[in-house]
Amino acid sequence: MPRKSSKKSILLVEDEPAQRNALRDKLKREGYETLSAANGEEGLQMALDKHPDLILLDIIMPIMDGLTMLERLRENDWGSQARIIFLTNLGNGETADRAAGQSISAYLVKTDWKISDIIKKIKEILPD
Amino acid sequence: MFIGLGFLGAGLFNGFNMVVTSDLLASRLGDQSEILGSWTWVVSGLYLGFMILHAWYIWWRKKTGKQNKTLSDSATYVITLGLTVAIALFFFILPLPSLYFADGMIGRPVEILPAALFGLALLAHGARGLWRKQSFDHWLIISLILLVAASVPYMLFSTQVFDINFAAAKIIRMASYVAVEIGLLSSMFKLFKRAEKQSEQVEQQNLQLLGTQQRSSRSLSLLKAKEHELNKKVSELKVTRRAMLNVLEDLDHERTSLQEEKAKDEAILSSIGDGLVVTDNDRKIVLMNAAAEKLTGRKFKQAVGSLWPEVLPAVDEDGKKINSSQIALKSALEQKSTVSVFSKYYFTRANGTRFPVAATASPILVDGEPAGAIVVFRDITKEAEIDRTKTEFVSLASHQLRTPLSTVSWYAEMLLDEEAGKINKEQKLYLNEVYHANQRMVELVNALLNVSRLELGTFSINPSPVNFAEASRQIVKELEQKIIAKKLQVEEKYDDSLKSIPADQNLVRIIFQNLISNAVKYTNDKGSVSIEVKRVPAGKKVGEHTVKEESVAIVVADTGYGIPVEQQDDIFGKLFRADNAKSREPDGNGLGLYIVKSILDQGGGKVWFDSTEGKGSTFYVTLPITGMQAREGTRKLN
Repeated sequence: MPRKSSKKSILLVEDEPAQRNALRDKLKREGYETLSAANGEEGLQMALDKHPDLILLDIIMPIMDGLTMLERLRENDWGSQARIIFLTNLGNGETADRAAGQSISAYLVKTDWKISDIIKKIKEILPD
Repeated sequence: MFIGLGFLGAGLFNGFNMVVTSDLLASRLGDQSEILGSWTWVVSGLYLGFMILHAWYIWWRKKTGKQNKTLSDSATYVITLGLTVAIALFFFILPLPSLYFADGMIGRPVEILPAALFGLALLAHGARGLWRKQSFDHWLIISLILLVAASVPYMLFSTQVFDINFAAAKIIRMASYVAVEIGLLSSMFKLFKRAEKQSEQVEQQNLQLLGTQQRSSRSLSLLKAKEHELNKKVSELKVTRRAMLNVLEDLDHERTSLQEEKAKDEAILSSIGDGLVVTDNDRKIVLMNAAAEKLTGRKFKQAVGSLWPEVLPAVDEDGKKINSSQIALKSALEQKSTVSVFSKYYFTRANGTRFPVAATASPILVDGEPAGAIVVFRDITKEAEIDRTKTEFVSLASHQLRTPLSTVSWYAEMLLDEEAGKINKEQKLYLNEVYHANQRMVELVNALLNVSRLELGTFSINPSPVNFAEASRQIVKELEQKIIAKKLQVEEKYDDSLKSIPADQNLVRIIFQNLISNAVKYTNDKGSVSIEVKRVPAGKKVGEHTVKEESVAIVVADTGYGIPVEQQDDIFGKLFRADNAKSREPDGNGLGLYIVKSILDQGGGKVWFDSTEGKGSTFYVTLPITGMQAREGTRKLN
């Protein structure tokens, strides 16, 4: 039985519960430890508390959006090195360019990515 | 005349006197003869004196300007004759006293009366002074002197009826008569002479008149000719005048219509909602309409003659001057063609605020050379606002629509992968329908968003080196499942000499995605699809078209349904699907080719096709090897 610490932890920052749950269930089945936050503020708090291995970050969210959360996170020592995947439904454009300007691991448009492909991408970023 | 009558009357009395003093009668009358003789003598003297004085009196009255009541000719004759007869009868009927006294010193005292009258007349006529000029008066004076002489020296001292004195007096009186006769004759002679002269003169004048008349008649005919000519001229002038009036009237009409036209033009100019500025070739302001004044806050009167770029410099959002090559007016004058810009720069109002501008500049060409330009511009603050709102809406829609779609997609995917437990065949079939319908929805949303970006003009073109062959392979790979499912033969042919071309990766992907997926979608099972990407030198043919410059060509051919001839013109239209495609493949939104054409139109390429219904279609795309031109926009196409 693998130790708890050997499991990779992934923080899901997503305001849409159905999507958050789908990702949580999938990731769990794939053997990841998951943390969930419903907005940028919660997400930032949790990220700084738990130091997850990867953060799946939505962009458009209430209270604090994904871009702002990322900026805040980068101000932190640990946060400046945190791995981030933007998983959003914002298409290419100004926001995407802004996001792409940050040192992030990937920018995925939800409708273009099957959930199985998202797992594949995560596995690329977090090799065993 | 009175003088004449006087002498005539005196002559009569003297004749009478002669008769009574003649031997024949004297012997019969006896004493009576003596008496009668002396009375007739005296009376004739009185009568003559009176008449001569009367003549003077009339002259004098005339001279002093008073009206005269002169006796008529016949009346004087009657009076004279009457007097003569009266005196004669008087003598015969009444015995008169003797008038001479043979015994006295003065033989005939009564003679003093006619002598006095003659003396008075002599003085009066002498004073009149005409005797110096007129021969009759001259002779009258002589006659009067003689009459006085006859009366005073001879008759006063004649004591006998027929003595020497008496005879001398008679002779002198006769002489005076003669003198008057001479005067009369001489004056008559002069009168005749004068009349003759006058008649000669009259004749001469007549002759002259005749000459004049002849000349006159010549002149008259000349005049008539002239008059005729003049009349002709006048009527000609009348015609000319009428013509002139007509012309004037026409001109008036013309002027009125011109004025109306001008007023209309001015009304049009001033009622144009857009700012209108006319400049000369040096970009100096010639005309500004009311809207331009209102928009810029500057008065035409103050701005006229100034450089338009100085009056209203084009600046960016922050107020910095922008590169003049981007300004419509300058470009229009340089390119000699109409140039439109939309939201590229701002104008600063007189109050310092700025507004985004849409401007169209057209050069005014005279013999092909620009003489000036017309700039029509408007404040597009509202449009920019609407544009922003639309962009925001598109952005929001893209997010909001995609969120449930991705949710459905993910859950359906997990169910199909049996992550939530085993599913039977039927359940799998149904879930597949859900999944695919959802994917169609995703595609539709993406296509609609792209169309809205295309139409907003907000999509950008960011050229970077793109490997066209690689882009094609990627799409074929993505469509692998469908190709296998339909058992299609796919042939790919890529030109090794083709290097990467500056283009927008995303747009190239959209082009390949649409062309290849269409070929796959609209080809029957076991059909074939061929994809070719090649470099084409300038002047070579791609399909039926000759490329003007070195290009990259994409040729996608299939053995599919083909496009009905009558619908081939509409195939690039928005939301258009050919009837045969619709009936056989419900999966499709009619936006793919529209998007491809829009991208190539904006990116500097071309797209066309050959198609035969039932046999298949071939789509051609060419893009200059120099690649796509960069284009700024706020949105990328997905």
